[in-house]
Amino acid sequence: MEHQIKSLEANKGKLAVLAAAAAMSYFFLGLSAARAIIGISIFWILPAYILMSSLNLKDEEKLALSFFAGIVIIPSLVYWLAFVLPFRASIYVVTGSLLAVGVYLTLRRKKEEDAKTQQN
Amino acid sequence: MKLSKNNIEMVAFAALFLSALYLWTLPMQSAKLPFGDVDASSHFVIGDLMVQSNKAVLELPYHVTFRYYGQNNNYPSYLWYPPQYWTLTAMLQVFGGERILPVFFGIAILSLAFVITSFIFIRELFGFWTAWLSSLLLMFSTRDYMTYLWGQWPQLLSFGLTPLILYCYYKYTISLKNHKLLQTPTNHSYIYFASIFLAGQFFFHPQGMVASAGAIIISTMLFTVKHKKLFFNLKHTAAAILLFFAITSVFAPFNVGEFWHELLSGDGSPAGQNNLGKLFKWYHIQKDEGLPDFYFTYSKTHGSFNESLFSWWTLPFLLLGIFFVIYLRKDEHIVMLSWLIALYFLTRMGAFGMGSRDIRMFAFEAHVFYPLIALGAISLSGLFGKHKQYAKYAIIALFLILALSVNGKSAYSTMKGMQYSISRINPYQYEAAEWIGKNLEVKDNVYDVGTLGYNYYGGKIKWMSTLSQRHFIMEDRWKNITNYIMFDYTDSILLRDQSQVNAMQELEKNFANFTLVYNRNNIKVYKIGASN
Repeated sequence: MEHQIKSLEANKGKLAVLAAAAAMSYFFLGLSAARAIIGISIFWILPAYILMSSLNLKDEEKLALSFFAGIVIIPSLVYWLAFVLPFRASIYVVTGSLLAVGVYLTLRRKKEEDAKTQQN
Repeated sequence: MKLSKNNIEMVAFAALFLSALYLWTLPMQSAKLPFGDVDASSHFVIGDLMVQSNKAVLELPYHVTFRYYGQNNNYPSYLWYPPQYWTLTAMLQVFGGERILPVFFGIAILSLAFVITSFIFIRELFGFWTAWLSSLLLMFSTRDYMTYLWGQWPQLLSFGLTPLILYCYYKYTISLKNHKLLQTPTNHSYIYFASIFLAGQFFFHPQGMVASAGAIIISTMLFTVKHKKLFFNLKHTAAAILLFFAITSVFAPFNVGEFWHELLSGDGSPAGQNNLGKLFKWYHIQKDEGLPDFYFTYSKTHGSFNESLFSWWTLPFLLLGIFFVIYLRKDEHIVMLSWLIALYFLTRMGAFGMGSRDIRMFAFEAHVFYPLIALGAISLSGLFGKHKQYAKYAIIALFLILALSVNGKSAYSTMKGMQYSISRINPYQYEAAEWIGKNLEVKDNVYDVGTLGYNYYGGKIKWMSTLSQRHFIMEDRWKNITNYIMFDYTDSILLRDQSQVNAMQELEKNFANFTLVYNRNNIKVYKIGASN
């Protein structure tokens, strides 16, 4: 829980920018634009960002790289999976799978770090 | 709450990017219908079909075969480009829950990639202010926003990835250099990111990949000469190359062969004129039906369409910036200089008999010029000795005023002017297209009389075809398969062109005996033949 609060604290700047972008999109273009911003954040950026959490990169660097890696890798996976599953379903399956892998890697890394700390 | 310098910089960049997004979405803020010339609808049609059919599309739909059949040499009836960009547009439709607006909004974000990537790269090389001013100018870049308005969106995104690739390359090379000289550990994740982004460029538009590869090769050569050492790791490089080939072959298997076939056989780039004169002038105008005259005029491209004297304001700073990178030649200057040299050679490949479409490489000119302009301006403050800091802020203020009043004003009026442009689909045409999509068979063929078309491939008629997902005849050789004829009076009425309306009415009389199947808002559709 403490870890989650810290993580939220660290990310509140990014969340504020995201909220500003969504609000601005809603104000100038309407609900579908705000939904697009939220969709981009959840389905393109978030999976790649969590996958990269174990890399030795600066936070804002990770954010930018995850957006651009996301727009290369995620549509590639979604497109090919959509030959087997319905297109919409493949978006959720790809995002869900990448998020699951990302969370697993993050937890494993944290566990390793905790073990190292205890050893020291 | 105390804000760190890093956070303030991030907020300043976020404000800049949101302003860019506001500017670039101006065309959508009043009229929420598609815009874009010949290529635009091609980059919308496949994603739209994926969402409509709720499955991936590999084979060309019937109406698209008339335009793109055979462009993929190895698989003539398959998609002519890799599917990634169109999958992104399809996903945007799903996110937004609407057919048009979320796609165009997402396209604006993707098209502005170069503003973000340039900021990341230039901030790493020359610090925050150079990066911020450069990105500010970039959001007003005529070349880029015109490419966006024309609808060559994947190309914009592809070139937008180059600064990020150069950033990864630079970070990796510096880590190799420090490893050799100071025994610090290397950070090889950057070279793998470069690989992923190069694969992205391959997916979106291979020209961007050529631009990145050119800059990397020249940069490596210059680094080697400067340090008299080659910063290279065979294991990392081999793994990165393997990763690139793996991604492109696995995710675009039906297009990867086409690219290498074109590259190696030269099919895609017919031999250019061996005109050595191009080597001695920056803009070498060639006839190219896809490029307007402003493309070769510095003041219009990097200043303002009104061509006042102030439209040249960036030129002295550009020359100064070039002078600084040549004179100082630190690692960061070398990467920037390499990018400039790559631009020079890639826009002149025809001089060496390597393709006639080299002028299209001017597409990334602003991406190289604007950081140099910002660098030239900021570096000037160094001449003011102990008043350096004040001079720097005075220069920033002057830069801001000129960028907004010259480049910004021109960009704003062009974007705003697009809101009600006759070149866009109007609501009556959109309604008719939707009706046609719902009521005509997949293999029906519509002949359109009256919808405005530009160029030899009518941009708006192509949009009608895309929005209806039906075939609209655009070449005389297909006239004999027509089984529906559409009379669209809306553009002529909006243009108050009564003679055109009269001429169309005369023509329409010839179809009075056929069944009128649609008659709304001055658009009529007659069935004149049986369905195939």
